Amino acid sequence: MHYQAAESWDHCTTTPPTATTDPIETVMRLASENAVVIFSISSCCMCHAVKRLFCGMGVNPTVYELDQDPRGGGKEIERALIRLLGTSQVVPVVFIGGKMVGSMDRVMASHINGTLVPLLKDAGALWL
Amino acid sequence: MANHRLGETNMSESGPSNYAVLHGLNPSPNPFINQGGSAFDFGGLEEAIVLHGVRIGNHDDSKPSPLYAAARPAATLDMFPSWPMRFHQTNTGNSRSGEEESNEDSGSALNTISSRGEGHLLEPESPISTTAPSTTDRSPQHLSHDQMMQQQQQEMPSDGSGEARPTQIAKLPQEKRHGARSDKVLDAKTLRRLAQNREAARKSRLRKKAYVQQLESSRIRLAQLEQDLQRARAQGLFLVGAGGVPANISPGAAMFDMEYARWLEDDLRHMTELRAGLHSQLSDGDLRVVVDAYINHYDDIFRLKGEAAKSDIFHLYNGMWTTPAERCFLWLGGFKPSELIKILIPQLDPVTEQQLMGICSLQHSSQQAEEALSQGLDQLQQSLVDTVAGTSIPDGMHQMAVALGKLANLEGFVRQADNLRQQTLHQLRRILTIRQAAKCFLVIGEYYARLRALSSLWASRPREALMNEGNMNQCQAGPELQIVQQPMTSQFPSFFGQDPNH
Repeated sequence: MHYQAAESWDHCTTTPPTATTDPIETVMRLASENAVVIFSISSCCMCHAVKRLFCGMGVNPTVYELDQDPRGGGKEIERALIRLLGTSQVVPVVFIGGKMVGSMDRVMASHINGTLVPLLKDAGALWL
Repeated sequence: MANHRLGETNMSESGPSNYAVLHGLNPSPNPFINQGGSAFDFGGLEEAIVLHGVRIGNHDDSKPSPLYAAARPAATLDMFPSWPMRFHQTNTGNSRSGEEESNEDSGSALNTISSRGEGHLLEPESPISTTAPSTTDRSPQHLSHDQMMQQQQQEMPSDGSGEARPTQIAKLPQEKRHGARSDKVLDAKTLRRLAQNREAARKSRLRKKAYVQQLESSRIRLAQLEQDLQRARAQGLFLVGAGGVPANISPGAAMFDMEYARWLEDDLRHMTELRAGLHSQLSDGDLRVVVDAYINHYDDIFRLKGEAAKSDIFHLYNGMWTTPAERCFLWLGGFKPSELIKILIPQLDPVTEQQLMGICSLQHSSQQAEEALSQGLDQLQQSLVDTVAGTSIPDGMHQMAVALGKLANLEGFVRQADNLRQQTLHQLRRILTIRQAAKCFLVIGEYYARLRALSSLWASRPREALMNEGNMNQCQAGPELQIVQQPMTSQFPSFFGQDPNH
């Protein structure tokens, strides 16, 4: 698990965080840069649980802590996620292979019904 | 009888004093009344006489509410210890007048009373005056008293103050000497005796009044309790003994407990169907119906738990809805899916290789998910501890607000755990054949039924120091009796000497 504190947020600096950049685009761009992307908040315990789930499976997810964005773009991403998810409870949210899997309940459901592991393998996050 | 009629007239009016007077007039046995038959009867007659023409709005009336019940004056008059003095004074005045005059006075006074608009008082007057003789049948003294009463009735209206009237009775014997009963000799000794009788009667009336007031308030309290209980029952809050339920239970929790009890009954029914289906070699199609119904049955409880989590998360999380033995194995408000699968694996025979692999991978993934949730919960607990323990700076309210915010996350964890449980059951259904699935669900149902039975057996196991524990739940009682006991003991824990947080 590696936290994108510096590198990926720097991508945001190249494009000014104004209305010209669609925040959802930003989100999708960030999500497709790595096999497993988790948007999180550092103080959120459920986010901690989802991170531990992936680490326990041997996956190395890329984590974006929305409250630790040095450029202050976290709020924008949060708004984008609200629009994507349709709820105000946006974190944790997991993207695998650039596609949104969803919140904790979706992730756990897919793990139980056996679809998560193949998804991870396809994205190259997990090797047998 | 005049007394009863009086009672009927005045029943609508409130006040224990009313009651007291009614009791005073009632010839039925009453421990408070039998101070000495003659003494009390005397007192009763005093009251009867008082009821005749006592004015309402008596200035000396210390009672704040001017009740128009005829009984009221008697209660009022209980308050005045100075009767004898007044009585003597007024009576001497009256005694000079003689009967005829008092008759005239009574007439005018009666008119006065009616002119004051208290005509209804006249109603009780007539019954008493006409039927008074019947009340006097009780004792020989009544005979003299009855005539005294009649004269009293005539004399009272002429009186300037209400409270003086009863005291006139003592003087009446003196009156009577001039009147019809000239053969009766009344000396100081008799007077003293009569005064003592009056005192005793008054004291007994006061005691009775206090007792009746106590009874009345208890009755009101009881009525309120019954009302609350009925309301609670109507709303389904009646506590069914699913576990050691404490008395202080929130409405959401109580509602869930009730629904869970119903779910348990349904569970029994479903298990019977499954058992019958397996035994009778039902076709796969029919068995599928039964199995799907059981899955829906479990979906129901997860939905109910989700609703209950919103209103009372601690009730779910602490397992207050379960039995003690189940509570031992509680994980985030319910069963641990991987543990359940562990129980099921030996029961699956015959099973294909592929199915076994599926089951094992299900167990593995549920273990991982459980681990993740447990670690998330650990972090929540640690964060909560840090908040509650606080910093060196005392910032109470803010700390509490932050702690409250963190506690709210508990609901999310319980919800995710229930989600995990539900997904596991559904996946089981997918992996196994219909017969295997039916058998698995039967095993699950029986396992928890046995855990519940274990709780009951544990609670009712025989022990030496049984009564000394002072715990009703530990009596030698079967599960049914226990369940009946629990609502009682949980509603009134202090009464049964039981710790409400059992």
